[in-house]
Amino acid sequence: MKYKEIEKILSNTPLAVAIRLHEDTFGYPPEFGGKTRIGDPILAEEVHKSIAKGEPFIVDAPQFIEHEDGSFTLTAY
Amino acid sequence: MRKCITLEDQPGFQNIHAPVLQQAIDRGLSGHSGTGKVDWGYDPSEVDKNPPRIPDESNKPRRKRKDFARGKDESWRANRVRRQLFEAEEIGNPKGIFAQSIINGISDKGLDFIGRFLDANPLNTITWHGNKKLPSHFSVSGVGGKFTFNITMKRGRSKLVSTTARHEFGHFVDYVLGLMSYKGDTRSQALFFSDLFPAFGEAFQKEITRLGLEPKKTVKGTGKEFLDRIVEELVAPASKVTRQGLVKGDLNDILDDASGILDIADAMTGGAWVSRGFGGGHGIKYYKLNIPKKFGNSRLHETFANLFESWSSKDKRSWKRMKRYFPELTKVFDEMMSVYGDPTTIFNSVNPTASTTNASESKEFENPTENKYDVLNNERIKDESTQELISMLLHDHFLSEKDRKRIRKELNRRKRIG
Repeated sequence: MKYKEIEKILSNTPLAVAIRLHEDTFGYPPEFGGKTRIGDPILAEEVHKSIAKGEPFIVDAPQFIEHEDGSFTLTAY
Repeated sequence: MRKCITLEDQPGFQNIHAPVLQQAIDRGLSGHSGTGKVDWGYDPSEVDKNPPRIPDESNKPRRKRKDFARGKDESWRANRVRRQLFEAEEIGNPKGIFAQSIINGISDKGLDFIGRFLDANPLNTITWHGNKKLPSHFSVSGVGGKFTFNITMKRGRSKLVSTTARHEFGHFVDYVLGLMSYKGDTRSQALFFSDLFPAFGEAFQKEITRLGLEPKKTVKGTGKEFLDRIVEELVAPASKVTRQGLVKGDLNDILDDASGILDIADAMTGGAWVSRGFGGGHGIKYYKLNIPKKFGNSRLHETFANLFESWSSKDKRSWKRMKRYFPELTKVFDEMMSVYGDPTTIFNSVNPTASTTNASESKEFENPTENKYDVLNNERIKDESTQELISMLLHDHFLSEKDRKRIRKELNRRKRIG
């Protein structure tokens, strides 16, 4: 099966639909912050909720924070 | 001196609903009134000879209660990981769920690695959340050379959670190996082993060149041919994917199987896969490097975590697929694991309080010790069932000769005492 045929299947998965709608609404794709699953229906639902509220879906995922007391928090997603 | 009381006059006597007690009292009274001898319901002479034994709870040697469930037919290696993860504080889910997630999808060599790793560097906290927006992650907090390790997991489908758990554990391993191998290094503590070990970065770059993934004008245009090929080969109908080692299943399973490879391709291209808009991968913003020398290279971190996830998978085809697409990277990873994955290697602790050895003594790619890893102490061997011990002897190829001897000794002891 050629890529174009598979692309059709992938572009109809829930998350792909939600990402497209987000791009159409806000002009840019949602920012998930970490690893996502291809076509993830649960995440797609969250993106739709966010669009319905009129808010872009942006998850802030800082990778390194230096605190005032000299400690630090490092995060990998 | 005995004091006689009239039971019926005692407060609350009429409210006693204890037939056995009442029958005993009745028997005693009838004996007293009928024969002149109180019938206590037993032979007092016997009682004098053998006074009832009241167990002394304070001196009784107790078998230590296992606070964690042991899975059916679970190996000692899995049980060790379950016990080690039970020591961590687990928030937001019943204790032991993370351990089960790890055990569910991991190979024996992966369990052996994690067991030895956790022995020296325990996980401090496991946090579960139901926030569908927030991703799972590994985090470390450090102050004054002391580190606290935490894995945060999003609740979900068990098969997926198992893969994610190994991915986040891969980050944990990557970070701790960096500290262990380069302790005393003046570089930032935000760096991982994948940042600090030059061969890994070189292999990563070699793959980019070999696969033609150098940056193009747009991120979306980067590595187009390679990404198309991965999709055609891995996300095709079952008849075609069987050749790649994928089993027939629904689309989600096939996509999940391909996710590690696509995530590495995403890291190599700086987010080209994510820019296609199907989900999967980490994204363009995530891979934008600000000060890589200070904060490390997230592309390398994610690649390491995906490699660990695949290397430790129970599904051996996963690593075969990875080798096929990224031979240079998997070669370097296999070399690393020929040392760290060796059952005889002992890990050093990066936290001073938890270790008796100095982690700075650990040298890059040198086996820190020649001693056999002593997992099965005598107490543990005595706790195991005979069947389990025999099974270990027959099937466990990771057992050291010393452990084998101890198991045989214990089996002989049991045989002697019948």
